[in-house]
Amino acid sequence: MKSFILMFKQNGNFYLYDANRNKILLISSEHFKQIQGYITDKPVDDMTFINKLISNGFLGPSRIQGIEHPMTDYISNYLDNKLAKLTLQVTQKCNFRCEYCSYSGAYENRVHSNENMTIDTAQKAIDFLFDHSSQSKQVNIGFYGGEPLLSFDLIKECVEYTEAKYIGKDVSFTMTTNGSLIDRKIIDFFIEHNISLSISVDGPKEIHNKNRKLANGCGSYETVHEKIRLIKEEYPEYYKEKVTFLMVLDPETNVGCLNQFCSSELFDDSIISSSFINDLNSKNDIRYSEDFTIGWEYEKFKFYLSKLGNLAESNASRLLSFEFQDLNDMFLKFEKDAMDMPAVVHHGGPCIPGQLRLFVTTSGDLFPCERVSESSVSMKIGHINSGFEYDKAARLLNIGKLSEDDCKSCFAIRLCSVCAAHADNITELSQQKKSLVCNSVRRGVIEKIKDGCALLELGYQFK
Amino acid sequence: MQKVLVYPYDREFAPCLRHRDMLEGYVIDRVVSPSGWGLNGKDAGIVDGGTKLGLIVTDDFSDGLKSCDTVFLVDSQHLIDHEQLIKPRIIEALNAKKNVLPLLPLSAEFFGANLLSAISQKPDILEFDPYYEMNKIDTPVVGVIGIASDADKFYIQLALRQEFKKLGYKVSQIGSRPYSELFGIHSFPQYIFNAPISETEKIKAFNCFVKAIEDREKPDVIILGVPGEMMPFNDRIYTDFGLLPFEVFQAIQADALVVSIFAERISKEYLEEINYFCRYRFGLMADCFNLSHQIIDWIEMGNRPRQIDTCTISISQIEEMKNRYVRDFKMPVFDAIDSNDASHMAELLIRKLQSYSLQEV
Repeated sequence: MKSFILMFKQNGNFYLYDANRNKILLISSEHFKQIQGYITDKPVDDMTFINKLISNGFLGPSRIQGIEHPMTDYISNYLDNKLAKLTLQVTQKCNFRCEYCSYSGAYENRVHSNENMTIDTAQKAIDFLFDHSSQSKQVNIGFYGGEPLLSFDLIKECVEYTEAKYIGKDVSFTMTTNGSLIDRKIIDFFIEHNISLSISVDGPKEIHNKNRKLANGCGSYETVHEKIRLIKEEYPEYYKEKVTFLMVLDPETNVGCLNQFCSSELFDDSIISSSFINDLNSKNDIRYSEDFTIGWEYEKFKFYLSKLGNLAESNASRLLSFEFQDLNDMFLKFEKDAMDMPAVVHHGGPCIPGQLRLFVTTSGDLFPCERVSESSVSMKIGHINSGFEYDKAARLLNIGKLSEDDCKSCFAIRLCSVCAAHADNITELSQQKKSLVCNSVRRGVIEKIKDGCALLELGYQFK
Repeated sequence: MQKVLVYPYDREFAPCLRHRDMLEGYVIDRVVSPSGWGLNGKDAGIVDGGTKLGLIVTDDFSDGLKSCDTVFLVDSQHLIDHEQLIKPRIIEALNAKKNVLPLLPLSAEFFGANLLSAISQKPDILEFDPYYEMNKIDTPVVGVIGIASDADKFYIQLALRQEFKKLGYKVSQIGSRPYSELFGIHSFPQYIFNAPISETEKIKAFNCFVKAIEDREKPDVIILGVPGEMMPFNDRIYTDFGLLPFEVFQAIQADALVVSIFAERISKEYLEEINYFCRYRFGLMADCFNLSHQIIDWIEMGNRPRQIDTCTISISQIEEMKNRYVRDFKMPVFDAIDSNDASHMAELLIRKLQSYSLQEV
């Protein structure tokens, strides 16, 4: 490979992204043609511009000789001393039967069960966190399920145990819940112990009830909204400061309806983060309807217009703000001089498994985060009794080794977001599975770069 | 000798603990950390990745107090809630008729004048009239600076003091920490940090301060550990833009320089860049580098980009790093936490200073 670049045309403009420099250049059509010739070894009449680029470090070949994550040597330092968050699966029980839930039966080897975490396991996990975070200035303990509020007594014990035993560290608590079991006694406890809450809501009644069903098959909208309203009306300060919402986007949803919902009186000041239905280890393909895709792209278009000052912000969907933040961060990095591409490097995406959000199952097994399947042999990185399996963590961190040759020549190596979870097929890490994701991530990167360039063309400044 | 309990202990006080035999009049007996800091039951040496220190950290302040005469209240890399962690301990220690020596800033407004007046103040720091003419320092001066304010400079200063003394030299020293007097080292005079005088006057004053020490103590060598960072870290983390080292080296021309850097995967080019920076900013190039036992935690800094966050690595990882990346460099790179390496660093500096003297003859 002669050069490590991506070239594209858009709106009559010509661009070059150079992976070595992590920069995008706007170039003329003539120069575009010259570079196309140069990289395909065709004769180029005028090499002046190409030579100028080369002298500035552009158009070089990939210098990558090997794939290894730079943190590989320090996994044990981080896992032993710098854990940031512990997520306790306090129960596998749930009073909901959401269609898209990882435990609904639609995913490999994950189903609802009646298993609860014991207080002994929970306390050992909390001890494990503090024993492994001596260099962390803050730590967070998250409660996760199933539906964690089915184990509220255990959660209370965990919070009280932590506060009594571990003095002096900045500790915060969070919980992800379907909201249905919240009552005043629980909210009082949350307020007293400064526990932040993420409540899952999917949108207006029809959309919410489509997937988020009670165990009896009925929709949960009324129940959940009653609880949300209770918090907002009776505990307005807590609602404002500590309650956020998670929205899972069904690819058959009418996106316009979601915007209306987010702007409704109940949520107008709230932080709502959205994600698409999890396709990791799903038995079924998650298909995106044409209407959804068109609707989503239209919302994106409106969001960009609002950023350009051509549309009131109130007309832009808040569901896109996190996605836009990613784009913004990516383009801010393009503005800075990137470190030279090392000869041995790893693509973007993986974090040190377990360091940022260590997930502890009801039985005490350790996993990198709550998004991976706790039935996966390859993703399990230890147990609270026996500690971390550093070699396994290193394998997950170095997931790029599965596709070493592809990664060495992939223009998106710095911009990649693939981690081990994408290659997990429950029993092993699969190169084939990873390759499928690579293609989709590359497409996404190109789309993001093009969107950002379009915004720049229209005068937007990333900040 | 007074028996000391150190509280609240973490990496910040580790250089002092590693060189505790150099403390004048004190012997450290107990090391106590809040329970949430995750150090209970571990050897105190774990915090800096060095060898074991033979002192086990506990979280039981009250028990530790029983066998001690004095409490060192020390600064920490953790965020300290003074109301929760410090004030009750001061009261408990005073009630138990123990001395309390605060080695961290305490606010009279918060603690109350009565409480603060009941605890010991640190030894007097020399202060001089900051209006003198510039003096030439005849004694060889070894400067110690760091790429950032927390790059393990104090380890180097204590190690060099120990090694120079071991070799029979009479050492005068100005240290980068405000409680350097515990080791017989002068702290930086306070007017350097907060007096309402111009930067020019501070430079003159510091020159006078060092000259007075030289005149009075007549040392063979002066070690000058400069607080703060030698340059801004990036456009968000700049603290004083490296102003203090600049001023210090305007005041005092050092004869040898040690630069402490983070233990990243360093390259020859990187060290050369730092050397050029030192030459043009401070007037001399580094004679050697020290690898701090810290790598930058880029992940945490992504979340909190306004402060440098690091992760500690071990003495063996530093050794491996030196073997892997530094072996072929011309510039010597040491690890001051490793006592063997500290000796080598001191020997190199002595050879450098001796070569000056030969040229002058």
